[in-house]
Amino acid sequence: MEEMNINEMKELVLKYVVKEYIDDDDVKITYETPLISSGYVDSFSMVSLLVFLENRFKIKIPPSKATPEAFDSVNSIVALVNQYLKQ
Amino acid sequence: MSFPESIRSIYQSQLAEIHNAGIFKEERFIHSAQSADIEVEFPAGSDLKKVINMCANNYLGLSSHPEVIKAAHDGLESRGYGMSSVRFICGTQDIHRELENRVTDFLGTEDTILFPSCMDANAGVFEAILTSEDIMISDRLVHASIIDGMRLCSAQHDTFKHSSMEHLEEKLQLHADKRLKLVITDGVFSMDGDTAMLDRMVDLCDKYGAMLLVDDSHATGFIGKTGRGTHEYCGVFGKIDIITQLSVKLSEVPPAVVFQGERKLWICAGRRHVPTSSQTQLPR
Repeated sequence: MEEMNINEMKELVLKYVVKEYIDDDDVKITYETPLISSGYVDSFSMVSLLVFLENRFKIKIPPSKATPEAFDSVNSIVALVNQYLKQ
Repeated sequence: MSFPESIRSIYQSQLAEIHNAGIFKEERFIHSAQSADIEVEFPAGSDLKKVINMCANNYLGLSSHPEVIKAAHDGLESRGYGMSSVRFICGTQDIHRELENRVTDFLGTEDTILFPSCMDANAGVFEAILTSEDIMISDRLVHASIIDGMRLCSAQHDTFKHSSMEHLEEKLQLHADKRLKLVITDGVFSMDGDTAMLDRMVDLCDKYGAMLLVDDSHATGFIGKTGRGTHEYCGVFGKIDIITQLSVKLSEVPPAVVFQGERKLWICAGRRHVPTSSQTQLPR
């Protein structure tokens, strides 16, 4: 996998979240937008995001770490990914 | 006094939030049989009003049909009220089995299991037939009872955008490695009244080796040329793996899980199914 800086990772995750979960063009998602606690992303749909992250970044995130809190914003998602990239 | 203040204040606070959000539902008291014309007391304590009922699920008006009422009376006379045990202890009523067979014939499937409610059917069907090796892939607008059932199941879950067959196909590809894949949809979606594209879903499930579960609670009895439901309407009669449906729309037919496949297989699955194995059957 090519090297990515933090901002590139955030942009990649943001694009995936918007494509996968946001149907309303008027909804603007930022890196800080609460995704699950605001209802934009159903916690039932998190598995596809998990699979996307694991495949794209070649990491394995344990189910116990893939919590709604950890997946609640682009920032928190990228922070989680970074933990496992460093291992 | 039960509910000490320390506990009571928590619930009062939650209730206040619901009121402030404008979503508290005051109950209307109905003083007549359910039908197109009913008498209601609303708000509580007010005089009765005669109103036209525009919001019932009683689509065919059978809940107060004379033949249905007579059949219920006959059942009470011949069998009493209440089953006295779950069906696996004392036994299953012959008339319940007869009814299961008639539902099976009507819906064009291989067999049927009755449940006291479709909430129960949806709450239990997933945990009975899936394990953590499997995946449930549901339309994002399925009924709340399905969501509850999925929460009770150890299988993984994912969703696809409402009625997007392209997105469903992406998800079937994404989860191709799972042991069993179960696609889940309503037949007719209760909030918007639109219909699932079951013909295309059947094709996709065939292509990717997935099962298809349809909650046809808002279709059985009146959708399709002869009222069999959404599978008849979409031209896939006999091709749905599992149908759950609710009685009140049809009134004569109790809630049921209706399925293709060998009954013994499903009875085996049912032994892990709390609503089947631990709940007393419908009175009749």
